[in-house]
Amino acid sequence: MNTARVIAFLAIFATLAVSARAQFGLGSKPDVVIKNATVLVNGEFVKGCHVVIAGKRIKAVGRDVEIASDAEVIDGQGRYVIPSLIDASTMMGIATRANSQAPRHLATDALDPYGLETWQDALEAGVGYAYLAGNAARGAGGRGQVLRTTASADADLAAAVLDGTDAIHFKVGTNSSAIGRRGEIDALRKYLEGARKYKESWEKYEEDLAQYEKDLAEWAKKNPGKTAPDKKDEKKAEAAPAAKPGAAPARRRRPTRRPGGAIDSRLLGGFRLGFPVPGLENCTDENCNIVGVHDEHDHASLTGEDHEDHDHEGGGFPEKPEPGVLAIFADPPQLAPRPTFLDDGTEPHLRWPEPPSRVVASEQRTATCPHCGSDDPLAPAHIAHAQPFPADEFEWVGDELADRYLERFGFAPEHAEGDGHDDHDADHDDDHDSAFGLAREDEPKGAPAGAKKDDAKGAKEKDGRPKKPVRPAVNPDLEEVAKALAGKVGVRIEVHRAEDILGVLEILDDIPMEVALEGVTEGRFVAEELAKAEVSVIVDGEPSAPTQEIAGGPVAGGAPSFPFPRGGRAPRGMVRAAGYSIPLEGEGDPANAAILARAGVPIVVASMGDESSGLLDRAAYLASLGLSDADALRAVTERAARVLHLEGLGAIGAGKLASLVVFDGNPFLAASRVERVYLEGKVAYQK
Amino acid sequence: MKLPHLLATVALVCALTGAAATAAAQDRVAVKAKRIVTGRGADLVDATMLVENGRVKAIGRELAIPAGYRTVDLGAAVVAPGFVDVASAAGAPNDLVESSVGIDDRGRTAEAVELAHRDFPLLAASGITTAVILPGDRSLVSGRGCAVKTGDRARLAEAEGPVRLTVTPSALSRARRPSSYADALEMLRVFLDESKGGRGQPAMIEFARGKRPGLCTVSSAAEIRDVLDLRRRYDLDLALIGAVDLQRALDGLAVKGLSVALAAPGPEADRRVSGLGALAEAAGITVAYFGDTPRRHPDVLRQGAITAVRHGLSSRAGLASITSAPAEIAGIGDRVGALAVGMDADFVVLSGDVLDARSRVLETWIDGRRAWAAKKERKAR
Repeated sequence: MNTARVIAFLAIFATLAVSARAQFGLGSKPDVVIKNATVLVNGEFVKGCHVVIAGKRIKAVGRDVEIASDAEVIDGQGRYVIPSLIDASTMMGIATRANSQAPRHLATDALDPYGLETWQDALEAGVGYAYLAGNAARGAGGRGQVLRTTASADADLAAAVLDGTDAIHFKVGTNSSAIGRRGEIDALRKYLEGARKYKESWEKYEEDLAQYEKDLAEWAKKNPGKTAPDKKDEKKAEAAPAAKPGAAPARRRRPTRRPGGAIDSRLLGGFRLGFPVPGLENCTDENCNIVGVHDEHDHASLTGEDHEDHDHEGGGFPEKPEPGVLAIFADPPQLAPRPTFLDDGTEPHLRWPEPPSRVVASEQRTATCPHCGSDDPLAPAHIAHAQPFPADEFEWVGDELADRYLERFGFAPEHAEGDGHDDHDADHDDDHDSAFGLAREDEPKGAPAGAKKDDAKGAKEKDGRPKKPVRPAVNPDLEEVAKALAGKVGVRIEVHRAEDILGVLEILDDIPMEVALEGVTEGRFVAEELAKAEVSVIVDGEPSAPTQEIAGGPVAGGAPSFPFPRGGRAPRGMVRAAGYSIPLEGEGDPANAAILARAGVPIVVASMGDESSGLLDRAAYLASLGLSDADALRAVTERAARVLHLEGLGAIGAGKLASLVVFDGNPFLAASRVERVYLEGKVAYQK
Repeated sequence: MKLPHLLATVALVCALTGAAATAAAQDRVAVKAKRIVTGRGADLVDATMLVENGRVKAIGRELAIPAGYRTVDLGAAVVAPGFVDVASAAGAPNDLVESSVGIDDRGRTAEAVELAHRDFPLLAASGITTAVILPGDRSLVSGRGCAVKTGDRARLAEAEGPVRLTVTPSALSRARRPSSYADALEMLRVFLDESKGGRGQPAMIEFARGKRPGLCTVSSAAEIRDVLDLRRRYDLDLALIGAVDLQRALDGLAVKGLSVALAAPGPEADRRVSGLGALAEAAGITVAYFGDTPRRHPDVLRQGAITAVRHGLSSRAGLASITSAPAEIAGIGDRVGALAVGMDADFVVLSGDVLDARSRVLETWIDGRRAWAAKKERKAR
């Protein structure tokens, strides 16, 4: 065989081999190598570095790595390679945020599949993955998930979703007054405790059920004559718990009246009255008069501010009294006490205006105002004349504080009377849970009554057969929260003010969960506590005044909360003066994240808005405030991956997933452009 | 004149000149830096800038430092022209909005601004050396703005600043004229005709004759077109501000010599907004960004330029958009917005490139004096 024939033979063989591989997928796909690039490895840019990609993963990274002869080589000269950016919280592509969510809702369902251009923008800016956050206007909100930003290109949106990345959103601290916010914290604790009870009751039930099955089998063995009761029906009944998530929708809460028509405990303009209202005992529906219904969101809706974020399905109280929901107001409208804080913030101080001459109530959906004839408590005409109505000062207070206030003013809390203690407590819960979308009937009460009475385990029917445990009620929201308590679903809590952050940390002491805090505008004041608590903190990295981020007014060091007249807009100058001044140093905000980072809090930077494409600049901005470059980059890669539980993402290294961004220059420089984005080994974007 | 008097006078004169000489020596500074971004032509590497009496005396590489100059070596830092916010409410957050009259031809923000306000040192901390305090946008003509040099010793750099016009719905009112958009245009034409004919306030006459700069708030494409039509017909020195709908108006627009001040896009802005600057640049329009300080944090000005460059604006236009372009719009481009001989020595000392979001403002100099300096201990772990 001469040389020419050998060469020809080899050439044919090689061609065949290559085409066979190409056509039939024989062998593995050749490696892809980005050669001689500047690569971010372990927080440092390494020059002249090669990245070898094999399939989905990175095979090797380094200056002298073995490169297969058949590898597809991409010239990395002058290029910078960083891990794909990860946006740990975004609202991109959600058409409207008005639809408030509960833990059973998935944010992904709110994505508009025809409005995903922003996802493509994010991809082109090097963001490979984004966590679509669940919406929480107040209290408990929906569940978010991580999606690949190729979502817009995927035929099936579901294919872009990364499984096992769910997290439930909560928001606390929306109330403009400190006392109201304390109530929100209390409500969050109650809610989580309720979820824990719910979880325990189901665990106990399942345990009891297993025991019951065992006992029943034994009993059947011992009593062969007696057939085990209705095996078929049994099966049917047992099928239900298996399908429990999403089974029964939460029912709306209904008010209860005590016998004799007395009102036990109700909402009054957002203030819960835990005592009989004088004059109400003889109230009949005919003389009832709804003066107005207040909730803290009303203010927002009246002033037209930020309306989209507020809605009443998942949290808060209904805008209009619904049929069957009792609204009580005073005539003259002067009933509610005005809890105010003294300047030094030490002692809550309560002023009680003139006692009401008459208190009226209604269970009607519509009632007519005697002054303006309006049947809509939110009608502008009505609001105008109801100006002196002090509803703005009504505060939703925590149980303990409320009781303390009431005692102080000579109104003994209801349970002091002995009778109806349970009712009273139930109503307490009801009030708070309404902010968390928890229907009263579904309130977790540990083991159900029957089980409680018989103490479940080993209980017997009359004929000696074991008693079947009673199945607890299903609550699709608490199902999800229970998963969070078990560590299977993440938890996000949006919180801004220092005292609220501490409140949340206190809850976490008692109910340990893996939690990421979002916002944390005043985190710098409690940086040490945050570091000790080992919670992740997600910030937006925007150079904005802190006051704009906090609902309800300026933060510590600023002016007091806005004393807006009810239904009135804030005077233009006042908003500017009180709300929009540049933060001073110390009081100053943009350095918040840098201060937290210095204290050792793991900072994650996310867009938290409708646009992820500016993610890298957000991180870079934090670098300008004192974070090191590597630390700033970690905030949008490694730490974001950790908080989202994305294994193998967020860093470049052998064995990691090949999700990379190739820039034509230093990624921190505004003039540099993204050339390519690899997601799990595939080219997801190419310039 | 008696002898003692003469002697006394001589002594006084000597004392005064002596004091002046000392002051002059203090006023003479030679600033050395790794890189000086002048805003005029290429950046100067390892360059020196001589500052005398608050102005740039000389600037260049291998410049000999004459005797009597105090040398300030800024090491590896980058020196760039101080930033200009062309639409600010700093120092007067409450007093700039006047909505009771449709045409306020006397209003001057120079009278409302409080130079001792804490906003000004904070603007300097973000590298903003000049803030143009504009009147509010609730009247068709809302008077004249002023330009303030920021820092702890803020001063009025230009008391007679640009005229502010507004044709967006915010200028309309049911209680007074103009009550509709058509009414606004009609009023504006009458106002310009009268002013051009020499009736009214001198400043407005100058404006109508194209000798005083003005800024007009516009948003929709129709407003942009109508205002540009007025600009052409009356030959006004008029820039646009706002102009969110510029993209739709661009087609066939008469943009010769046009400047537009756009709101600095934050990282949260969508691509349409962030990319507007690049579109305007491609159409031949000079782009400036405004920070709307103190309503927004002053850092948004430079960050906005960075975002715009990320979205396609050239680096050159990106730098100009927060320095020379806003200065030109405000009619003070001959004094601020660039570092050149004879211009005010207003500059910012950065840890890196102007268009690198990581760069920190280390020092801010205004009128040849260090007006702000970062604390040393800011570097994190």
